[in-house]
Amino acid sequence: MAKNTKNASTGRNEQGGFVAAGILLFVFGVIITLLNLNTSQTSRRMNESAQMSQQYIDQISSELLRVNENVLEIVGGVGSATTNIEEISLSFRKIENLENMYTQLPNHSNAELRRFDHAKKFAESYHKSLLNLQGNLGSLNQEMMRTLYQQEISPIAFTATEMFDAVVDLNAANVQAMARQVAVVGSATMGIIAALVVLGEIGIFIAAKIAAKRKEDLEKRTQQAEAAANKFKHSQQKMADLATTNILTNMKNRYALENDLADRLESDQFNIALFDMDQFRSINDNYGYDFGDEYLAQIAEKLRSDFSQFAEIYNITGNTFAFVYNREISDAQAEKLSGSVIMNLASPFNIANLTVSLTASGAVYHYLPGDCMNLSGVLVRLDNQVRNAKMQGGNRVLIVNQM
Amino acid sequence: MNRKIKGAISRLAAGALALSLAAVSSGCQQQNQSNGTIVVIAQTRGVQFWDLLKTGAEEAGNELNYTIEYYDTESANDVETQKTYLQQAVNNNVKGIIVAPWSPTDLNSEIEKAYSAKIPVITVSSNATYPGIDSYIGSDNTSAGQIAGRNLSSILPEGGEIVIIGHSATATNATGRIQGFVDSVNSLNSQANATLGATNPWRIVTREYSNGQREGTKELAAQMLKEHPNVKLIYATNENSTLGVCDAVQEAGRAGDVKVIGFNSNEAEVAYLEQNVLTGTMVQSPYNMGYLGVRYIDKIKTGEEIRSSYDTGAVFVTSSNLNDDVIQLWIHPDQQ
Repeated sequence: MAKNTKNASTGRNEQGGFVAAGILLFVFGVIITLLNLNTSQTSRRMNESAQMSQQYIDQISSELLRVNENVLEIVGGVGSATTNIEEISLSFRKIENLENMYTQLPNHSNAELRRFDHAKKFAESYHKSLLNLQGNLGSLNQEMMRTLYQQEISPIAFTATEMFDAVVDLNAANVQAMARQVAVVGSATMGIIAALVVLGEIGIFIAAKIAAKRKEDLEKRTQQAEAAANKFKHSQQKMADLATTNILTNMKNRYALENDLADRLESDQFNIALFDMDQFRSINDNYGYDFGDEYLAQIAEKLRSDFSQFAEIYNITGNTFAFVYNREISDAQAEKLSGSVIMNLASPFNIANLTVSLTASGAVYHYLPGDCMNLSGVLVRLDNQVRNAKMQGGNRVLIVNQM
Repeated sequence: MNRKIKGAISRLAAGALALSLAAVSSGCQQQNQSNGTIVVIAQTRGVQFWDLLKTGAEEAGNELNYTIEYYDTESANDVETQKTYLQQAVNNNVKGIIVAPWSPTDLNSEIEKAYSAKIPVITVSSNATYPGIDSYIGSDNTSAGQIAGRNLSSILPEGGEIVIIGHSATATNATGRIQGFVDSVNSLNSQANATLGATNPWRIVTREYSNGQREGTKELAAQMLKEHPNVKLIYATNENSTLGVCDAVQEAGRAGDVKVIGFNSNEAEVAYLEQNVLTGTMVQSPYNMGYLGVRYIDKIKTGEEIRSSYDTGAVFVTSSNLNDDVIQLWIHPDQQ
């Protein structure tokens, strides 16, 4: 009886907690929705303004080109100088207009605006030098004009064009940087949503349990869950203890590899290789598993004595070995060493008075931090290339990066 | 039971937190990866011209994500040191080389090695004769000399005696700048002779060569002021020689009476411009040479077309246009 009363009161407390959690969940949901809306709007606005920027600068560049054509006609004495001069001032009015429109667009980086300012000043200087030329048109002969154009005017015109070109590049780089920011916000909201989903699931699960009168059932389930969790925890602990070494070969195994590489995959570059005996199954089939195990143990011993100074060696599964080459080993050295590993594996071994020899295949991966993969991704790539090596007849090493 | 549920909740909450953290941190960072190294091999250390070229290269490097390695030589004409840097760049298989050769021919075999290794090579400010060079970016020295000379019609409209002091008798930038100046003097004279019936109003009384240093040029210029008491203008061909001539003119108390035309625009030269000791100076754009040099290497890498030679131009700066926006951009591109 007493126990029941206690449960009822804690039940009421918990219900109050769930109401609060529900409200919190709702508020979170609203925030996330707004955040997502904002992100997608930002990225749309960003794309629009980037496109407009590119368009304006493109137009400025083609107006500058038009100016240059007119200047060349004046300098070359072709056509009517008056028409050319009119067209030049029209182009510069357009340029000024486009420059103003560009400046009013949002989302320019400081570097971009600075370069734009350089470009604009060179364009203005170009205009000024042309007005100067125009003022002296009467007193200059054709040769003098050509010299002036070549020495004093065209360098400024070209520089203006090159600087606008740089503005376009900076604009593109800026858009990329902002897109990355949007992506970060995106993945953060994804993370929060994932957390909310899990929390929501818990809420529903618990609310359902509490609302239901089947207390014993709940208790039983909880006990089961608890037991499962404990069991899981226990087996995980056991795994952690056993995890790092392979009993047969006494080598580090895949879990150890995962631990060792966890921090390096994002930021480091290294050479990793995978080796697999060709047709090892035939050994187990023909001579039995004990024989096979002994063979593997001997192989492991040989690899350890011959290569442990160059690489950390792991026994991934039965007859698969992974090598993480030391930092000072170059890409070329890693490929060369991998070749000798294959030769080493293929050498004859004496097991129970029988001499056996199997070829092996391997793959090398020059991993770069930019590859951005997790370990299983790395292993899949290596595995694929090892399979390709076997399909080509085995006894060879292929390079993952050349896939 | 209560405790058990709480335990389950905290475990699940921890799992959810871990999940969200994993989602946030899985955006592997790629934006900071460099596109590689571009080596810049310049000339003299401690000269503003080369400092600006370095700044230009570094700013383009920042914008396009290249690491810039900058090298210069302690003394003039140090071809051997430049060779070493070139060789080292080839050995390191860099993405591109920007070089201002001390000699038009002596670096050719090293440049050829870069060419064979498919490393783009761009020359700046001074050129080399090897045909595989991707582009030359710099001022045309003869043009710069001609521009300087054309300004005689406004600076020295009545004509008069002119002394030329070159910073070297062999360096192509000195000989080109002198040749261009002489060309302009000749064409101004023939114009004046034809239209005004004059007889060569502008007279070059002597061409001297200093050791290219400020102190040595000062002594030489002082001697010229004594030997040619009627001199109206002295033309100097680089930063140090311009400063040496200004020193001598000021010390002799002849500022304003004897005009000076020079090259470049370091702080001391700008001060002389403001004091009207230096009448006019040819300003080049080393910043743009470095900036466009890096951009051109990037363009070569991405398969875009580039000009095989690019004249970055030169402007004539006097105390009256010194404060124009665009002139300030030529003089202090790094601060604008």
